[in-house]
Amino acid sequence: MFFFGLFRKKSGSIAKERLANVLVSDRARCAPNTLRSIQNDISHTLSKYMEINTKAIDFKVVSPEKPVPVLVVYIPFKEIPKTAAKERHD
Amino acid sequence: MGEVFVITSGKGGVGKTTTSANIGAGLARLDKKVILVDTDIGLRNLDVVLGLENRIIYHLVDVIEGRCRIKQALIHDQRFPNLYLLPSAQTKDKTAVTPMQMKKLTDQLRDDYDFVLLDCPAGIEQGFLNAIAGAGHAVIVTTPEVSAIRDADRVSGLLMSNGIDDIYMIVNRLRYDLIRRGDMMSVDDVVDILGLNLLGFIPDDENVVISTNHGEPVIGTKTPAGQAYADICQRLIGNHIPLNTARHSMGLLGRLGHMLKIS
Repeated sequence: MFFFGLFRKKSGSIAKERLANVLVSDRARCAPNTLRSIQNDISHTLSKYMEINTKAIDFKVVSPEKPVPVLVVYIPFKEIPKTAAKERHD
Repeated sequence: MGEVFVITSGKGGVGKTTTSANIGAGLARLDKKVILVDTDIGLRNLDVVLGLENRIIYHLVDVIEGRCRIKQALIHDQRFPNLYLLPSAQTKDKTAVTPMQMKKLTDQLRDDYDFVLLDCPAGIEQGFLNAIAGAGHAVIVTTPEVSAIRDADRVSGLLMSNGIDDIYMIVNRLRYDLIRRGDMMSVDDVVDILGLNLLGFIPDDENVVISTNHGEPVIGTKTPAGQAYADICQRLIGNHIPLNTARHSMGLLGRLGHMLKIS
C-alpha cells in the first residue's frame, strides 16, 4: 500500500501541469479548445509535406523583454525507427 | 529621488497588505525614509494591520481632492520613526480617483521619501489602475496555489502592458510539510511557471496572525516570517541575501519517485 502511494502522481505535479496548460491559453488569449484545433490543423497541413511527430507538438507563449507575448509552436520531426535506418544502409 | 513600488497580486487574501506593512516597517528600521500608501479605497486595511486605526484624521481621498495637505493626513508612529502612513478612505462615495491624480501624488511623494510603497487592492479594475499609475517597480505577491498563480500571471502581463517592467515576485504562505510530501508547489515550481524575478519567499507562520491581532508587524522578531521579510528588505536596499530554495522542496522519497519518472 505504501508502495502505491510512493508512485502515484503527486497533487503538486498535477497542479504544475494544469497551470502550465491554462497559462498558455490565458497568455495566448485563446480558449484551450481553439489551441487544440490549431494543433490539429498544423499537424494536418505539415504532414502533407514532411514527417512530423504530431503527438509531440507543443505550444508556449513567451514574453521576452517586450510587452507583446509571442506564441511559439514546437514541431518535432518524426524519429526514423532504427530498423528502417538500417534497411536504408543495406 | 525615491523609488515607487506597487505591491499587487490580482488574487485577494494572499498577503499584499501584510507584506506592504512589513516591508515598510523593515525598510524604516534600516534607516530609509518610507511612506506607505493604502490605495484600497473603501476597504482600508493598512491602518488596522499596523495598529494605527485610531490615529486617522485625513485620508488619501482628502489629499487628492485638496481638502488637506499631504502632511496633515500622514500618520507617524514612534515605533518606526522613519515610517509614515497615508491611510485610505473607508467609504467609496462618489469620489472617483483617477490614475493621473495618483501619478501626480506619487511624483510629489518621491521627492521626500526614499521608498514610496503603494498597497494595491485586489483585482484588476480601477483600484489597480490607480495604484500602478505612478509606480516604477512592482512586487507581485502570490501563494503556491493554482488560482493565485494564474492571477499573478495575468497581473504581470497587465503591468508590462502598462509600462512597468521591473517586476519582482514574493511567494507567500509556504507550507514546507506539504511541499515535502509533493502536495504543494515549491518556490522553484512557482518561479518556473511564472518566470518572474524572485524577491523572497515567506513561510506560513502563525505569528503573522498573532502580530496582526496586536497591530504589530512581524518584522524585527525572530519568527520565520519576520526573518523572511527582513531578508526581503535587505535585498531591496541592494544587499544580496542568497535565495535558499533547495532546502524546501520535495522530500527524498518524493524525489526518488520523481526521478523514476513516475510522479
